[in-house]
Amino acid sequence: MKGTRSTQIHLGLAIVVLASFITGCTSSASTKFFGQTAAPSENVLRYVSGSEPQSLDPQVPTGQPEARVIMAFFDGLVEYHPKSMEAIPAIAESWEVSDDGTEYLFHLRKNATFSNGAPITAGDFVYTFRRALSPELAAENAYLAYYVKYAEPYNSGQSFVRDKNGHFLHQSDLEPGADPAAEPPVKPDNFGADTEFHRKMDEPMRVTVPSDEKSRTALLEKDPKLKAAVAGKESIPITAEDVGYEAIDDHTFRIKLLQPAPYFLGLLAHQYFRVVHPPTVEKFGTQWTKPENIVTSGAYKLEAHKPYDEVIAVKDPTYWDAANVHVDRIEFYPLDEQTTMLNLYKAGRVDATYNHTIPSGWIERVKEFKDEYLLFPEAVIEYYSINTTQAPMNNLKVRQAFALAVDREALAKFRKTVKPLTDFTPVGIFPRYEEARTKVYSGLLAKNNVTPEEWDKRLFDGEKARRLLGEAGFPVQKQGAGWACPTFPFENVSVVYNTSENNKAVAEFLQAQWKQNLGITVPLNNMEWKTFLPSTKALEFKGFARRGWVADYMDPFTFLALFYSAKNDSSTGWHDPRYDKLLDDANKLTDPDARFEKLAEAEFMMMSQQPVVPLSTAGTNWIKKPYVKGLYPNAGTVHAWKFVYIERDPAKWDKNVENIMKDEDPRVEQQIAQLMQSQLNLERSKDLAKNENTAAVE
Amino acid sequence: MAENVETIKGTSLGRDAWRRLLKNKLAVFGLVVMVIMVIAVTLGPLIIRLTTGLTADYIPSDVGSGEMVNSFPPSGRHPMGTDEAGRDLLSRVLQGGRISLMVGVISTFVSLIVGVSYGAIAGYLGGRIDNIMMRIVDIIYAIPYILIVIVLLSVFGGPNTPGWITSLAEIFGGAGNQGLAQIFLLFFALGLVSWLTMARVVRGQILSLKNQEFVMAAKATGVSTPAIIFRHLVPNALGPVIVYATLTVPSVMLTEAFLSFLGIGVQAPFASWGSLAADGIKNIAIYPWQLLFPGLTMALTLFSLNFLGDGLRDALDPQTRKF
Amino acid sequence: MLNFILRRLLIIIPMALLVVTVTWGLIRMAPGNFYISERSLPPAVEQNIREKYGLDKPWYQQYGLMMLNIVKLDFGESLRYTGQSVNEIIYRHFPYSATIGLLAYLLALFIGLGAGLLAALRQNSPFDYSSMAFAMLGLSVPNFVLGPVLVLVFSLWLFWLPPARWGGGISSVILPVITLAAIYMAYIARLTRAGMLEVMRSDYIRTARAKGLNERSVLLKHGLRGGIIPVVSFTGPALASLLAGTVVVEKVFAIPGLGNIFIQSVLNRDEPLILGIVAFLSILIMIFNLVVDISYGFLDPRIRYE
Repeated sequence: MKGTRSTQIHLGLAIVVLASFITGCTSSASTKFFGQTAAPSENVLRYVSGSEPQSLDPQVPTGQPEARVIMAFFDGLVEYHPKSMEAIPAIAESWEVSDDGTEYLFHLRKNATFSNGAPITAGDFVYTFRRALSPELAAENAYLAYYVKYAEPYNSGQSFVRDKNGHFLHQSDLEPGADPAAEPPVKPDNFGADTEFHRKMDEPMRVTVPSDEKSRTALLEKDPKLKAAVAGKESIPITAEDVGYEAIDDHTFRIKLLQPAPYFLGLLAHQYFRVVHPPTVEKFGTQWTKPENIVTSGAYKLEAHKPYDEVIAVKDPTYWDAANVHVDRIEFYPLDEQTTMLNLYKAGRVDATYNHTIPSGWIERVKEFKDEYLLFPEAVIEYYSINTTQAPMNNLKVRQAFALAVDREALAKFRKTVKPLTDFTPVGIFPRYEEARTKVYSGLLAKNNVTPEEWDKRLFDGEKARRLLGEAGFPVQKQGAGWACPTFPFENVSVVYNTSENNKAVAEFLQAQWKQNLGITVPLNNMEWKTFLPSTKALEFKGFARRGWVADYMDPFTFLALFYSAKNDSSTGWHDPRYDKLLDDANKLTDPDARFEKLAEAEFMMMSQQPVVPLSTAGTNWIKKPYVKGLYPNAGTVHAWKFVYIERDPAKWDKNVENIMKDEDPRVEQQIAQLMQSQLNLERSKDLAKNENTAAVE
Repeated sequence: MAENVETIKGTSLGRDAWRRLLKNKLAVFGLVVMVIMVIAVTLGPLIIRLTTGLTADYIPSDVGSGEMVNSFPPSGRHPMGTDEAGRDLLSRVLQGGRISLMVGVISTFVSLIVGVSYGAIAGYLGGRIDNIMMRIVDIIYAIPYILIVIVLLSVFGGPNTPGWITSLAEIFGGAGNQGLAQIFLLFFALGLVSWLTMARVVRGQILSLKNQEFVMAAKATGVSTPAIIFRHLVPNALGPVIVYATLTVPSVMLTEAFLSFLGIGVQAPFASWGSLAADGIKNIAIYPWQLLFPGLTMALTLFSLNFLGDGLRDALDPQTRKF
Repeated sequence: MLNFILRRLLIIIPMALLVVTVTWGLIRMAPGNFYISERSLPPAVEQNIREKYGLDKPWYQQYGLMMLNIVKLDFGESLRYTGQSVNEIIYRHFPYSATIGLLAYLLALFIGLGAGLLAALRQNSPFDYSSMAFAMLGLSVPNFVLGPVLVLVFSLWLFWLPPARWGGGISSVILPVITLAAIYMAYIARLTRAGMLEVMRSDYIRTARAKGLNERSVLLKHGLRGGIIPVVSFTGPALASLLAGTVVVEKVFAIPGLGNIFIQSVLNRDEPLILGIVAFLSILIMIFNLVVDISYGFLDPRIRYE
């Protein structure tokens, strides 16, 4: 008889569920907060960090979910500013950049230690950075360091070329009239201590060839001049010691770049450049990140790591800046189900989530809670790559037609969190670049006989799209209320996208747009990620492939570099050496505005070939409790955890904050100012010395 | 073998059984609902298109204002409301019904044919053959179908879709329908993994029946083995089989929904009831109609299928006549 | 009987190896690999990775090496989660799935069997109709709908139970278990009812009835054993798949079980992890199937194992 009773209870439960479900549909939130919000009793932050970290080794994983967690455990030379993401001092208390912009000198603070008490020295950075490039580790992020001298040749297994007399072959030797036997002139730059390594770094770039016999032969066959120069010489494999990282002493660290890269300093806050403890890594190998083995360098120690459940970070009292670490314990929850994490949030069991976590259906509701919902521009773009190597998309006019036939404003309204995008670099992230671009574009437009009005209509211009398609040989006719394009080779276009709720919604929207504005129904095809990648990389797709790009560092170059070189990762098949040259030229400029103008020229060149259909700039779109302070919706959604604090006094919670990015929290501002002090002092003293020098000369 | 099963159906689903079925009110209800449902999903989208111009993938075109691209509650024009892209939910539910019913029917059919024959043969023959056959089932059972589905969809998907699947899809959806071909691929993948339990259920049933007197009698009178299996044993095991088949329909529909939940099910802009429900559940607190209508339609269909299955079971069961 | 069990136990080993082989073939057929990403790796680095994991060897050598290691029960390290061995991952995550799965199965068996029996006993009574209608409801509601609805009611309106995550003790297990059990409950109730009705009409039950035994003892003493055979056949695979974790419930409730990890490993093309989990689960499933076959013999004396 037990069975009956339980069934009835269960039946009763179900009726309750159903009844409350039906009534629940009409209930609306009129409360102050989104879900349960009680004053916290401890300084604990419970943060949803995204999918399970691939690894806690800072050099290994590439994803943002890992970056967020790793930043708690590892410190770098510099740290991200919590709002602007600019570099602020961390283990390096100050730094200098050489006049030509290719050398960086870091002065490390003397009280920085690992979690086991060992001091952090410049040697540890050298070890970490070399490890990050080693072909054995095969870090996917290695390209981030490619602007460091000989980093790329080392990472990709190349060799120097040396003759019998011990002279290395330099790139300058390949120029006509050069004498390969003579040593090229070294121009020492007197930047930092004079060492043998430094002089080696200051010599002109050496020639590098693949160490692997087969690829070397292939390269030399293509380049007879190089073949002649290399003939009869031995090749010396490039080692970690050849890369431009140098520990001058325990607390001075120098980096030599190939060429100026003005964004390089900001890049150094990336998890890829965060320091690890060499003996631990050596001792435990792949096991070193296990809680029982790990030695950390950041504000937090790893207490526990339960994969797919939680990563527990506890404050490290021996951290050099421990006095300014406010949260005692961070619980990272590796979740990626949006509904699940929002349920946890509403039940008051989570304090903040990562970006893009509010489903579009919820936004109308959640945005009522102004102090919790954070929607700010983000350095993330969404676009469709076009396979420009196949007909009919190899026709510029067809590409332009498809790009013009998408109403981007409607798309933005539909997706609710994004902004329309007509160029390739995100909107509202690099204001100074956008200014320079406006200037450059107006000049270029005049030169190309394009009116600004026409240019602005790139947002959406169905009429012009149909006209262009007609000019390309596929006339669009009126059919009923809509359009038809009977001659268009439908079977040669499709949209492929990797499986995701958002990608599906956007693809369906674009499909409808093209159908309604061009009369062309483009079939959709979703694939899981690992099937999608090979097909897009090999340009096996027909027509369009959905892509997104997240900035690695706060500079437009991180987006434009996607089209750099013949074997670029843009999945479009588009490449232009003149484009590469513009980018190279731009980075050689030290004046930021002049550089931006050059970059804008490159962007114009690329966009006028329309290898992509730009769609949108993403918005941060996440949520936090009003008592979580110092956690800002910055453009990369990376958080320097030591600025975060829990406000236990409800009176001081965020309340009707107009714009949290402009709102100044004295506690956080003061903490940043304090950290900046050492760098400012150095800059001031340098300025003083400079002035004295000039005064002396006069 | 398919023929054999057909003949059995032909002989036992006589006038008698049909009369008994019609006496069962719930079964008649189920039958009526299913007939209406099939007619609705077949003709519904066409009628809607002719009367209002709406289709399942139509996103409002006055998007200049962007106002229409939103989820609206039920109204005269949209009896079930719209989804987040402003698409007519009724059209989507009807179109989704086509996919879901096809998933249910095709995959269950595959599972029925393969599973019943396989299970019955193994159970009756017994001994070493039974052993080997059931071990093969065990092996297939132990390979996760998610792996099979991913491999099938990626290896045979896109440009590599087998011709017969494309042509089958064309019969249903017209030429050049890449998305539909992918969906048919999914049907077969699902069918090929769902017959296993059926085979086990049938085998278990046959094992308990094969030592009964009527089998002995048939054997003694020299009836051939296939005839014993398909004329005497299978009809007697049909009760659980039909019940299990009616359970297989919702189960494959749910499996499809689960794959849609993971994002490897139906290709957009097509939808199935499962994928509509999976989309709707996210917005349950804000746009309840997005879950309510696909969910209710799906539940009503599955209810009816089950009632019908029960009715069939009572009507077909040859032993009932003894009482 | 003992001989039969031993034989079946022994055959599990080659069968598991067969399963692994087929799975390996399937993985190799699927496009993509574990290291492919949006950024192209320099060819030399890719070559390094391929050498490190032996992917540059001919396929039969790779296969042989893999099988050799598996026979030694060493599945190696996960390719994605570097430094974590496959055995360690299975050992760590299986208990979560097993706990939820076992509890759900017990709940489903308890209620499903009871309801099915009573429904068969009182065929065509209001209880029969209502419990079967309810069972159909259980079959018609996908668990990815049921779970969130339960969460909405019990976690977000009533605040009785946590909405997700392991770690809240018993309270955090209740909702996932109910969500998971619902469909199995419905299956078991329906199979029990159908099986019972079948048996109730058979000759030996009629004999028992004729002997003048009361209906309840006919049902419980004689009918039950034969009537639950379909339930038993269903139990083996059901229990195995329950223990293996169900992806939806693990996702909705953020439970770190094996099911979700398996899906992730397939999506990541994490070959050692896929093979390890498949081998583990296949052995589990085959053992359950063996138990089912043995229990037939106990339940129904007409079945003999030679």
